[in-house]
Amino acid sequence: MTDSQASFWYQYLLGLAFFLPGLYLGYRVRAWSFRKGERGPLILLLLLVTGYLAIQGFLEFVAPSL
Amino acid sequence: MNALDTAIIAGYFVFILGFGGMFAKYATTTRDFFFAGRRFSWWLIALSCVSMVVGSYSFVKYSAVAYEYGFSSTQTYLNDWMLLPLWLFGWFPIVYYSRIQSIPEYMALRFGPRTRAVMTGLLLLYMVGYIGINFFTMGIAIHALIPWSVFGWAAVTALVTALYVSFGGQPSVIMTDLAQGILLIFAGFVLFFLGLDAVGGFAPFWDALPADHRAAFSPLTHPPDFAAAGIFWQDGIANTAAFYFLNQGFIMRFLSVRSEGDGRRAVFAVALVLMPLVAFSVSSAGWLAAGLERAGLLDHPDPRDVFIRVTEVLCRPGVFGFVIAALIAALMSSVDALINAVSAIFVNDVWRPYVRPDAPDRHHLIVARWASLAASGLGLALVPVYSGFRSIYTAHATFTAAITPPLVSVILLGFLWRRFTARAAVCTMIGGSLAIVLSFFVPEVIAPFAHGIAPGGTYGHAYMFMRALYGLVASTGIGVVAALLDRSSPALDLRGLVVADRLALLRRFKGSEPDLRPGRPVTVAAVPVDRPGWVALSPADAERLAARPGDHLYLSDTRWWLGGLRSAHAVLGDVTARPAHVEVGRDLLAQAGLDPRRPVRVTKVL
Repeated sequence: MTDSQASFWYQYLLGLAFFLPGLYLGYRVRAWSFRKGERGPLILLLLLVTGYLAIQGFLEFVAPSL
Repeated sequence: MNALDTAIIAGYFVFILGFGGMFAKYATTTRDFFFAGRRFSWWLIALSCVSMVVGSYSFVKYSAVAYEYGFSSTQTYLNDWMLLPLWLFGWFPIVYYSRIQSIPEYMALRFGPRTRAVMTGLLLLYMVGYIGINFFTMGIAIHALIPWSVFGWAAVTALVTALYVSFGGQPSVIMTDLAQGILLIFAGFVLFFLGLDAVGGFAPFWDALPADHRAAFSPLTHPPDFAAAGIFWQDGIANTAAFYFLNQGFIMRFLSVRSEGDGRRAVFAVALVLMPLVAFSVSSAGWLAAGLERAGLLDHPDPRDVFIRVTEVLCRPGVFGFVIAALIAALMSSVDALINAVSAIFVNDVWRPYVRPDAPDRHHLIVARWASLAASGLGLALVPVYSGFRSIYTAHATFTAAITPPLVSVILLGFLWRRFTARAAVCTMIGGSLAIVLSFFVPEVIAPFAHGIAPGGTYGHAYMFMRALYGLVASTGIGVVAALLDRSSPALDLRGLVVADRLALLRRFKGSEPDLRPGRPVTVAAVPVDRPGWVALSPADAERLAARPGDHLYLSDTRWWLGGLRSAHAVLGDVTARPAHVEVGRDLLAQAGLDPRRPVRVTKVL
């Protein structure tokens, strides 16, 4: 693992430690739920994280060897 | 610089002044002046937020980082996601539904007037100083490209910004930010494509990049001034929290949005779409520099000058003026928000509560305009001070570093933890600041938090990026211990001020049970009536909206591209109108800027 790949894991693992409690808070205060019509914020937040994972993962693990 | 460039820059100033001035008619009350009457659509707010984030220094700073480290220059713009759920579900609903107008006002409601006074003083000191820094860095950046007086460039931009902010308030700020945001994002892409053309296409550009410059992150623990662990804590956690939870300008943007749903859409648009675009735009000159060097178009530049050097190499007459206009746009769109925020805090937290509490709103609107002018004037007056005494410039940066972690801790603990008391808040602010000041003189106290990163300097320059982690741990630790030791119970009513069930917040905001039945918007003809604030719909339209008398409605022009500029909130009075018509009080029509000859779109809010 390169030094910058270590940074990738550091950011995403530690970042989730801030992200997931916030997501749970939203569930507790009924800002979103798993019911149809109330999943919007959850879907967008997951899209956000996976989008960043895809961009930064590509740059970190694929682009240097291209 | 030739005549075409000069004409483009002069034209830009005239356009912004005229465009900003056009919206002065929408700022007829302090609520309009500071919060634009809560009327704007998500996409306007999103672009406005991004314009505020990107300053003129962003192009210079991130181009330098991109030149030295490659794509990892983007990591500072792509790490807002970690705190986003906390903001979205915890802080934003409190701010939006508690009807607060400023961060100090929240402090007053949550902790009492003493905490508000401390917060007001700190924020005003910070923001006026920051206006000065923006003017100063602007003057230096433009001076490097077009040699003239640093103060002269700062004065021209200060004058234009002050004029449209003072007359137009928040509506002008948000609408000019739209133009400026598009311009500054576009400029970075224009530079990139010109650069690709100059180096012979994408393949030569890619080949010129060293392999480690293609990685998304810098190494975890080195170099000291760009280690990823330092960026995570300073930028990803401390600065993101300060921006999302504490920045009065940012909060005011989201108080200008027409609904909670639009606020959510705006923040997703910022984080998902616009920030990656901005990260690309501000860094592109730095990435291109390697390719330009290999093509023999650029001699090994000083990283601090790389943006300017690349611009000089790539830009032919006309494009050069366009890039300078984008730099000026980046400055003006950051500083206009600060000026409006200073005015809001001065009026809402100093003038209205302590000087003229009984004065009519018209009086406070005049004070708000003067406060905007005064904030610009004070910021401009700091330019020669900063340029003559770098120690004062450094002192402001030090002051900011010292107060940010304690204030972030107070806000987070304040809205997340009911047990957190006023005394604990004061202890956190004082104790946390003292702990950080201590670290300037004894930097070794940061070492246990430094992940093995080298100090990289002495005293205040040591562990610069890891000081945030130390400060957050010290401040939060002091706050938690002080709250646990404090036996006094919170005497104030905390309903709606700490994180709570969303329904309870909505109930408090509306003053009655929120109507959450799903409905569909209706487009109807307006019938002006002589009843102030009155709105009535037909029973059929009310049923389609799923609204009943007493529900909150949003009336707007049907043209989406106005972004809510012509709109207003109202309460449904009755369901006695003719089908496909809405009876609207003439005062409400005038306040919304709605043309009674055009159809009106009605949406239920609550």
